[in-house]
Amino acid sequence: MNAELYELVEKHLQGDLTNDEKLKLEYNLNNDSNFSKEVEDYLLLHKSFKIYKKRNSLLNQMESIHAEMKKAGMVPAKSRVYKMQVLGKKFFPTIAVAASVAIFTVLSTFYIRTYIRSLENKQTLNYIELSNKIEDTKNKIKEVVSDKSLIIERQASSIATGFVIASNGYLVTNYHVTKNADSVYIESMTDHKRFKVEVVHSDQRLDLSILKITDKDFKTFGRLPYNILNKESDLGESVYTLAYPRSNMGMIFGEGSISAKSDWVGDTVKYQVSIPVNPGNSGRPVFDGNGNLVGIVSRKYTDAEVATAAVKSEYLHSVIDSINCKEPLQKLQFITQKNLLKFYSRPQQIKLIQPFVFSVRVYEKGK
Amino acid sequence: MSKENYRTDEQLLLALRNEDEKALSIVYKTHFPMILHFIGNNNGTESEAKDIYQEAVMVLYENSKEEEFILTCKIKTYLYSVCRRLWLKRLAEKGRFVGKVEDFESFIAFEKDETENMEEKEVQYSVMASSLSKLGEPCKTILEDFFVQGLSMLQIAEKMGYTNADNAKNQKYKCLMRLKKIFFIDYKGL
Repeated sequence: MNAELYELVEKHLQGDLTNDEKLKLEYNLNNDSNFSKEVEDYLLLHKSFKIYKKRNSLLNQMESIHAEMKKAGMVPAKSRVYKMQVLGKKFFPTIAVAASVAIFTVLSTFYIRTYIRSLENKQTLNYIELSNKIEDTKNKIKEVVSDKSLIIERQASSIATGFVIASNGYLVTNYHVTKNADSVYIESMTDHKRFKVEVVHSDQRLDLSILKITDKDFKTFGRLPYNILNKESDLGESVYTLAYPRSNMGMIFGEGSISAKSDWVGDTVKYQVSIPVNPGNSGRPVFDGNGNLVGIVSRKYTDAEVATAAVKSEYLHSVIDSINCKEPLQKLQFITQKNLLKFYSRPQQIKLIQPFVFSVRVYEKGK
Repeated sequence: MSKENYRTDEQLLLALRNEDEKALSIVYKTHFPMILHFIGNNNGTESEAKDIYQEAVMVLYENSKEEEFILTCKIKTYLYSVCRRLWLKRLAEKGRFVGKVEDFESFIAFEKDETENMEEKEVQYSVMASSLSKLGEPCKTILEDFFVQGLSMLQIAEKMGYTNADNAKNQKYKCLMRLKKIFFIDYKGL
């Protein structure tokens, strides 16, 4: 196609052809196959130009719209966000399971910890309780141990009276008082001193038992003020006794007379003495008006009897002699044979005698 | 300019046909996020999404000018369908086609002739663009000025520094012949 013909085509497309030009163009189209082909090509080209033009302008428009959009913040910055979303979706099930396991583990750990702690607390509480109980028990024991008087009060199976017969630590009381004794104590009522004693001689027939102090701290009683009469007293003789019926009462004075030279069962080793009988009066010393020891009260009868039986002092003498013979090392010291008391009035005699009269407490096994 | 006029898709489409800039802007802004989301969730970048989207909008735009074109679905669905098709094609070219894309919208399948039509236009455009760039200067400017800008020969003569319109005409003819050659090599080659 030459330039001229091309111009015709152009003009045609623009609708600018004159009639002559139109005819010329048609002629060439019909007769020149090449030309028609070329025109065809050109038309395609033209069309493409149009498309090109239109698209370019549209593109420009869209670009400016897009720029507006971005400026207004309507476009998310990174596309990575979407990639993350994709990944997130892919791994969601796995993540969900992992998270559940983690949460479950944490929760169960907490629970287990709490449970174990509560167990520990319980244990601790139990321990504390036990510890407290032990403390309490310890304290009670301490109380009990420190308060001997309580123990003795409660546990002493019998309380009787005894008195000193030798200043180096010998006393006398009844056989029936000490016969089942596990341990024996004497207590002074003047200064509340307590001594442990052991039974060194028992005479069932005479109902006498001789006690010796076993405390190392004990030295001596000092000189005895009274004399143990070595002969029988007379009927009608005025006598008195001193006793400790109860530990918290102090000494009790009782007086009477020798009403018989044998007791009512006919036992000649004992006097019958008209002195009121009280429990715990076994082992009481019986003095005559001159302050001589004439007897030791022996209680072995029922409460119905009014009279008291007292072992004659001469028999005490014989017991002492037998001890002296048997065990020369344990020789009782008899310092006084003289009666120092006869010149004193009765109240004064009592005052002098008092320190030598003791309360005897006996503890039996199993009680 | 009130937006109330452009409520329905029908109204928008009509406006597009009339080359209403405002309508274009609305359509463009409304539907881009959805496409960005779709492309992004299917191994695409933002710029790829933009390219695909603009192509699709162009398709819509050009079709709206066609007499026979009747949109039976929403603009949204139409754009999504076009983008989807284009993206699948792009993935196949990249060699990263995994066989399935994740969808977020319903889409319509295109008739064969519809797609052919779209593709033909695409080809013509791209070949023209590449041919023009291969043409080089001064032909590219002359031809663009005449065919795209619609300048008269006189204006071109003045611009390019030719003595008169006829000289410019001659020059234009020569450039056109060259372009024709290049164009058809590429075009036929496809």
